[in-house]
Amino acid sequence: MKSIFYAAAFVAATAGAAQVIAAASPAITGAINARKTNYKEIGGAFKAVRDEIGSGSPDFRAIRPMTRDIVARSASQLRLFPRGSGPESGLRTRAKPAIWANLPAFARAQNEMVAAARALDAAAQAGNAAQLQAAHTALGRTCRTCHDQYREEE
Amino acid sequence: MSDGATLETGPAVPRARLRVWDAPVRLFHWALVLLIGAAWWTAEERMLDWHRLAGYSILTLIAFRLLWGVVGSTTARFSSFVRGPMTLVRYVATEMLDRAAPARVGHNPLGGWSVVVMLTLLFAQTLLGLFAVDIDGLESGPFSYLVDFDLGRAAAELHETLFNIILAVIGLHVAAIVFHLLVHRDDLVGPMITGRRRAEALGVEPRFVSPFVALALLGTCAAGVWAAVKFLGQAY
Repeated sequence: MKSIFYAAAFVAATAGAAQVIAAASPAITGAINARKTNYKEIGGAFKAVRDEIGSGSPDFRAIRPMTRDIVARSASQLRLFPRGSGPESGLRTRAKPAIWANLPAFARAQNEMVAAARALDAAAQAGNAAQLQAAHTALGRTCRTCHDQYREEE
Repeated sequence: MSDGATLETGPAVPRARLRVWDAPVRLFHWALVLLIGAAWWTAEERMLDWHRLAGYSILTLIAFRLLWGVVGSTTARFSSFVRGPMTLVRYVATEMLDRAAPARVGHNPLGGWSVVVMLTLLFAQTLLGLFAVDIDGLESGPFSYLVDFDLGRAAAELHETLFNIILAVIGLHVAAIVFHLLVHRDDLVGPMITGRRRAEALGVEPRFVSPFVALALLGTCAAGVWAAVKFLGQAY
């Protein structure tokens, strides 16, 4: 009798563990990790551009690879939010369920980031400091808009 | 410092109202209360221009208070209220809960350490703010250009955590004042406003340093903070 109980408990535990593993499939885990890496890299590059602007005489040769990187990474973000990659995945993510509640609105917000990133890169390629600063602020605003609605507070 | 020794053993001063806190200490205290409130509010409301100003002002005040703790009036000096662990333990074990124990002029041994703790935390808090980077990359401290994104974010997160710790310590500070009022029937708020307390306190009348010296020190500190931010920092 006792062994039947243990067997049942074992099966239940295995099934439970399988649920957790199934919830966090490799595709979901990969997407979350990739988008987090991208945002962190974007944040780092964005700050580095900001520091160049703040120095008074921005070094455009240092800035251009960074703005290109911001464009590439921001453009790849939207497809890294598959359904199931919110907090329900059980993984560490600050992505709010609001993203998937209205996916078109989130897509618009992400696309605004991409457009603003392209404008920043255009200013960097043109070597125009005033334009660069304006585009930097505009891109920062898209970060904020999105964070306010879709990112869990720290 | 001999003042420190006489504070504990001196005779009660036979005056109706005894002057204990100088104007610089009192102004420092209440300005700090307002500025901590302002710093909190401007952070909540994302008025980061004002938040930075509040931070620079707090840093100026802390720097001033550290100097005033060396050259200021007797009750403002660290040497008069920072005591060793044995004195602290003895105070807590015997005097703190004893309703009959006479009040003291200036900080008691435990209150003295709470001053040190609060000054240290606030100083650390302002320094963290100088290097903090916000998540949107729109607002940052003036020295954030010296650190990378991850370190700047870590500074910002610690800045937030430390604020909660500071709130807890302020809560303890207020609780201690209520404790003194209820247990010792000793009002500590009035003297921090008027500078004078009722006379039945143990200790000699403190020696006061001219407020003009304080004003000169404060001006120097303000100029130092302003110059550091202006010439070493990056404007945001």
